[in-house]
Amino acid sequence: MKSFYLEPTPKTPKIHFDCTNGQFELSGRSIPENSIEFYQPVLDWLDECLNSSGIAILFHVQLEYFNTSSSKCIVEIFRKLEQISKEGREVHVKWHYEEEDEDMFESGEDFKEIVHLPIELVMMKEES
Amino acid sequence: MGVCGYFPSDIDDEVLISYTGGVSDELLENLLYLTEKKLNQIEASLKVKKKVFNILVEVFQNIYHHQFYNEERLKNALGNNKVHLLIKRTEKGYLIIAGNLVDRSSVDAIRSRIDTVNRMNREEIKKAYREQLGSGYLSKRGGAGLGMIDIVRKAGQKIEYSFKESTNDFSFFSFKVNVSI
Repeated sequence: MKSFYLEPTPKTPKIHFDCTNGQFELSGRSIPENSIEFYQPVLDWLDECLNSSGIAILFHVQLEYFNTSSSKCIVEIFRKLEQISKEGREVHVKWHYEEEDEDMFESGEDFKEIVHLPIELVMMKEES
Repeated sequence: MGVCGYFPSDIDDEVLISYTGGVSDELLENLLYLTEKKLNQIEASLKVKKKVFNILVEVFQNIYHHQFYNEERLKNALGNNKVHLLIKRTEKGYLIIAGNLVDRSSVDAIRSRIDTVNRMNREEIKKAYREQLGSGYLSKRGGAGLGMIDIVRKAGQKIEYSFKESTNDFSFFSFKVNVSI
């Protein structure tokens, strides 16, 4: 199965989900007005990918900004991963946040609380 | 009054944006980027910058949804359909004031949503946010029911708001939130 790839835009994130090696990336900004419209294709693709392959998943989330309507779609992605994780598949999420960005850190904690997945909060040091 | 009188007299305040008028989605987008550029120029703290921008995204999104969901009907509101935005940095922090028409039938829902969040303490807000995020609910318009909770949570301060009767089926909704620095 091919990978799912979307170029980042000022309002939408880069999405690169590779079904052959299990490396997923969601990064940049996710602030579209209509997040369902934006995320539906990747959610559909994810169903197919997770059904067709049994590979371990490593999901990097490195968002600069996301709006509340995107957060619901991110929960949906996590829920799908939660499901296969329950079935015994290895899934690991790395939630990256900038050192000073306490809101992004707290968001990571929110998701950790909501979904049953190993979500690791990874602090990115400020470049100097 | 000299020409200088037209400018704001309080020179300690830095205005990021002051706008009154009609909007399109493209215009709203440009206003958001303009405000972000200004924010990047004047704010050194990444933490504050991200907080303010995040809140702005939600504020703009609220306006967008009220504007374009009611687009056809708002045409009848004629000259009254103006969006107001004022964002400035004062001694106390970033002040965000927004005003726009909303469907009169949604006034009670907005009121109760804000009142509920305003009554909560920090821990309660966090809990409510997580409950709402974890529930599957997402409205047809893509609203997550999280906007106001998110704004209050990030700002760490209550929202002040008011409604004023307007023409036809609309009310003018204005609100104010401050982000401390």
